[in-house]
Amino acid sequence: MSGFNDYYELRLYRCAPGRLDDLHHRMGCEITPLFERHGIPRPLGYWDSFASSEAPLYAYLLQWPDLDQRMTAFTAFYSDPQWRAQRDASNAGATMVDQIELMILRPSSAWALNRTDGEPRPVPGLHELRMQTVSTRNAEAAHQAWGKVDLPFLRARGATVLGVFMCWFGADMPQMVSILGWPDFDTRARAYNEHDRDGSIADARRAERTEFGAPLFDRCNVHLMRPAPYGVARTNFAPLE
Amino acid sequence: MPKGAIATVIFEYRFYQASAGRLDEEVERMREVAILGAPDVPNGPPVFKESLFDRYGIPRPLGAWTAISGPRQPLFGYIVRWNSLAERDAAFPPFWADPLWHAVRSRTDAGSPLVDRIDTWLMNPSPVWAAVRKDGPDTPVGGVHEMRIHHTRAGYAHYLSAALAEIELPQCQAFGAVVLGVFDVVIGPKMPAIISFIAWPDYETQQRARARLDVEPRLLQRMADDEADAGGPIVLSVEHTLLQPVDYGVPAANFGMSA
Repeated sequence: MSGFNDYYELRLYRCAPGRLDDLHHRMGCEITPLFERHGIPRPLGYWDSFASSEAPLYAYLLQWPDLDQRMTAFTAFYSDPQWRAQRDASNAGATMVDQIELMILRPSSAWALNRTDGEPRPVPGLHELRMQTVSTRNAEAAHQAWGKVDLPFLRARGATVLGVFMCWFGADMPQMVSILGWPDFDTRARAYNEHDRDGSIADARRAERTEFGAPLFDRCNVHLMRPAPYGVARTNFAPLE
Repeated sequence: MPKGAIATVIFEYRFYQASAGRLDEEVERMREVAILGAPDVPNGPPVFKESLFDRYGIPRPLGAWTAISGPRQPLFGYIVRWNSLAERDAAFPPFWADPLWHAVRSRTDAGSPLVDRIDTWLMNPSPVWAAVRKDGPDTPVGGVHEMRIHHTRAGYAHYLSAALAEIELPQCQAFGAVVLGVFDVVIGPKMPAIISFIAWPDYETQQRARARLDVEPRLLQRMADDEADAGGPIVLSVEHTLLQPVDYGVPAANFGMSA
């Protein structure tokens, strides 16, 4: 069960050309015992993407009960001579990652409204990462609207809500980060085409503009991701088995 | 149009970040002014055959899209071809001043701006386009489209142009893509920049092709050689956007400019 007081860390890597497979091998196999040694938890999901502003994108998500513990764990990990040796060997002369974006996230109230019932299960298919800039004055109202209006609409059309977060540390804040699962590309395309044309959604946006004097949502950066076979995220971001 | 003639025209890139939840309203606003017959009174029914754009000599868009993935969403965009910037500046400003347009804008804003931000760039056809174009019938090309904006280090864009023309785009074509057009940005941000518009039959084909291109040995070798030769990186960043053509703006192969 994901803790609603917990912190999450989303790590987005823009992979160097031709190195995605190497990075999958590093993250899926080599790094696991080293993470364990330093108290870095098993990630809750791993992804890659060729439909992203950062393509080829590699991403994974961690959960932390405590941010100071996170800082200590990564410092210890980075200074481990075995990690350095392994990294240099698998880099083989050139780094695998060109650029990194890290974000610390906390669960959004929109997530609490959109939990998935039943025993945790893997969510295969297409995953969507939405990085949505929201109103500075009314950020919580944006989370509420997304949780009450949009997510139920999208769930009724095939989406599974893996998680919804508010950005705690990172860029372009206030930012709302959602990760949704879809059975396939076409289901998602149909759902958003309906969302774009739906009268009740348009009415909700109009009411928000009236109530708050400006739109609650600004721009959104959308990444279509593939869950990695060795770590397909589970409903409600339950721990991987 | 003769093949050599594409060098004499200029393209305008107009991409709009719509207000949240209002992408379809933006698509329909564009339809109303660019495609549907103009009214004779503000907000009246269409009575003319020609649209407001037609009346002012603004060409129909060569392509119009909404974004499926990528930054700046909800994103609507189109590109227009002009014979000169004098022609362009004789067309758009009088349209912007027309009370019929003001009436459409005001009604479709409905109390709050429909558009948050606009990118208006100017582009020249890239020599890369001429190198990779496959002339044929100007039939509309559907599917999933991809817009890739490469930002290169100043002074080194020609390395990327050559790699696109000789390796990357022909490989895309071999994997099932249709190259719609390739442009050099002449006015816009983070220049030098090269924009390619590519049509894939579907998302799965695009994904498979991109995964294979990412490990294509000739492309990797070329990038390594070029960077060694240039003494540093060639490409500083790439903006990838997947696009869905809108019904009135499904582009033709070569944006309708085949020989």
